[in-house]
Amino acid sequence: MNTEQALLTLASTTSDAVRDALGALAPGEVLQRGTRVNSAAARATDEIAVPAVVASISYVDGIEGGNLLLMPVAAARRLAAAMAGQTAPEDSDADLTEMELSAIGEAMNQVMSSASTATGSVLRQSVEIAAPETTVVATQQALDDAVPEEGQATSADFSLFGLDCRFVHLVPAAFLALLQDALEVEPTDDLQEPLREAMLDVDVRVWAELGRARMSSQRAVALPRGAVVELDREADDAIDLYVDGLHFATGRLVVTDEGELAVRLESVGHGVDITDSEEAA
Amino acid sequence: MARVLVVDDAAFMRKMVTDALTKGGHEVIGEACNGIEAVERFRELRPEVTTLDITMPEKDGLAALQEIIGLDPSARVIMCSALGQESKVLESIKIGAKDFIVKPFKAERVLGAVDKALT
Repeated sequence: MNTEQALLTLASTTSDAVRDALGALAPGEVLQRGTRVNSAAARATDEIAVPAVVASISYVDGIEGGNLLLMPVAAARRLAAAMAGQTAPEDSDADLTEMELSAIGEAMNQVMSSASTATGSVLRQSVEIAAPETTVVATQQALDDAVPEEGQATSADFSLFGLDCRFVHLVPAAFLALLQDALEVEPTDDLQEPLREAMLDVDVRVWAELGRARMSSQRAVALPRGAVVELDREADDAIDLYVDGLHFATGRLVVTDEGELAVRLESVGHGVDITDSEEAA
Repeated sequence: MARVLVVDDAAFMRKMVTDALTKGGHEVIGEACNGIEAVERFRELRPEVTTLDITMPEKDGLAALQEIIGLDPSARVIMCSALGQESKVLESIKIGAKDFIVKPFKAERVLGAVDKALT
């Protein structure tokens, strides 16, 4: 599977979940109209009529990304009426009432909850969401502003009461890395880039090693205070620098102007796994 | 007939649950729109049954349930969940909830859960 196929799998799975959740609220009024992968999330608002309701959720527990549900107010009003077992009034230009807004917010909550469960099934891990934020936007510009301009996204289009609606899955680099891992996407040079970007923010452990010694555990536990343990390096030998277990560089121990120990690198890029080193004590 | 406290952050859902309970002959003695308010209202009203939404701002339903059970270990609480909150539902049952209903629900399901909680 490649990355586009993985994104379409995500889009398709969440699209089914959104269809089912909306269908439970408005039986017989939901039609799926296809999914696609967007190169830019800004395109997500194409063909959505304004005024529109925008519901957004973000993930919690460290997963980046989120979802948007875009729906014309006319469709939202009819959805609210259906949830109350009523038919929407003909006058669809009136402002949404407090109770209609509450019903729409609840509908968004149920739809987004269902979508997040579907997302978790794709990622093979539990996905928790924050409470959705639901707003009404009156202009196309405001609708465009509600969608981030950067990053990839998937879109799933629906017809709800005959009106175009869209579920958007925002896919930042870190989320894409999770998806690639879960769906065992085969890496290519192009696809490595998002993963590489995601890895740039990861904290790593760096340590310098002066030298090593080998001895029996019996001798080690019996070392008295004041004992001198000889290491396998001469005093003027270079020391090693490791990054998360990988030998990263060699250098010289120096003292900074502030009196702190530091390492001046002399060569970089050996890349030897410390766990494979025959010298490991 | 039971005296019921209805807790949900959505006014629409509180109305739907209240309408269903009232038509079923129960008395809704209070409402709350978040977990903090839910615990306060429970302490004040001591309802026979509480319907408690899981996803709410300020304090969610699970945290509120924990405090309500702390106040009254025999409290009859029915959790209201959305699709996909199975793990939270299971957790709430472990804490002491008597039953749960999954949104969107019909009035009969609400009344059935209340009847079950009362037995």
